Amino acid sequence: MASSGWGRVLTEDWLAVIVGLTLVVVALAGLVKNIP
Amino acid sequence: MLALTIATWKLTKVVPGWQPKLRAVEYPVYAVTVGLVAGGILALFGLRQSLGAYFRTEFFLKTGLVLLGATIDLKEIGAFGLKGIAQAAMLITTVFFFTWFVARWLGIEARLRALLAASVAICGVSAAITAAGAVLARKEQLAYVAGLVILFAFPIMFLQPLAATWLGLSPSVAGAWIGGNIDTTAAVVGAGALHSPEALKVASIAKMSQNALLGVVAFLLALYWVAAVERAPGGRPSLWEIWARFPKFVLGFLLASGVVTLAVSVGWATPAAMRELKHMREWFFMAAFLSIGFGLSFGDLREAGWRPVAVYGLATIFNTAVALGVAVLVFG
Repeated sequence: MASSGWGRVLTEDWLAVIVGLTLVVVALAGLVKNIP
Repeated sequence: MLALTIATWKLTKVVPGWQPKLRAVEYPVYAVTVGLVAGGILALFGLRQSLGAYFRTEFFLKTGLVLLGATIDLKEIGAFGLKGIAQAAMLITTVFFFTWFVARWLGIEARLRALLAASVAICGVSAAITAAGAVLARKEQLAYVAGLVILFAFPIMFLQPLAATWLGLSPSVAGAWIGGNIDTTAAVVGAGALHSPEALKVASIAKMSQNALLGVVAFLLALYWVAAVERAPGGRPSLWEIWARFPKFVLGFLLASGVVTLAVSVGWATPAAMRELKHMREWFFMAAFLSIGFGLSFGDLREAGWRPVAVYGLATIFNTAVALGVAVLVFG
């Protein structure tokens, strides 16, 4: 447990959650348009 | 990576235009093929290893899954009222466990078993993707199951509406049967439309009720996996261990679903925003399947053999029979 820090905390799972939720908020705010 | 994803998207639009019967062939087929070809060409130039790092299957898959959660309005579970929830819950549990036990009986590996059971019981490719994330399945297993889903959906899409007419089912029973049985949403729409407008409407709602339960199934499956299947021998795992190994994207999926349900109910989510979310999800899934094709190993596919096909076939026959019984019972 000693090697904490961003490398360990920010796993691919969390990265996907952060990117995914950001895109949800951006879309709901109407900031993206006309994705084909 | 972006250029290849655009090429895949182009194929999904152009091919059904040439041949309308190929409507049921969904994006995973095109994406895996483009990925395979690109992988082959880059290998010829000795670039496959160095460019492999850009084909991040897991990241694309999981981000796509969070976006999938965002396209699920939890209120749709109740779109049919109690009847819809009863139908979806009955079908998902019976078909899931039937497939699970048949697959175990045939000696299929646990993760592949979870993918097969989820895809037949819920909603085909997206359920297979969700289950793959929840149980950390191998890429080849996901490609194999996605292929099976599409292969089986194709004939059923044409045969089931004919069978419904032959059996003299009312449009709402026929719709509930089609929506409860056919796995991929595109094929449900195709089959419903072949029967009647009323059947199409009921089939789409029945499918939505099942899709809406996807998050619940993913959560339970992930929990079962870390707490029971993969636990260390001897003793129960601690809550901390379960949390550490729990796939966090499932929480993102549920959170996104909750946010969108709330946004829809207070009128923040415009139809245009919902459409953009759906398109973004498709792009991430296309990139994921492209990456799967890029790194696909035929040896692993061959290793799986005929048994998953037999399981999928038996499970589909069982699903068809149970879905007819439930449709008559609930909507007859």
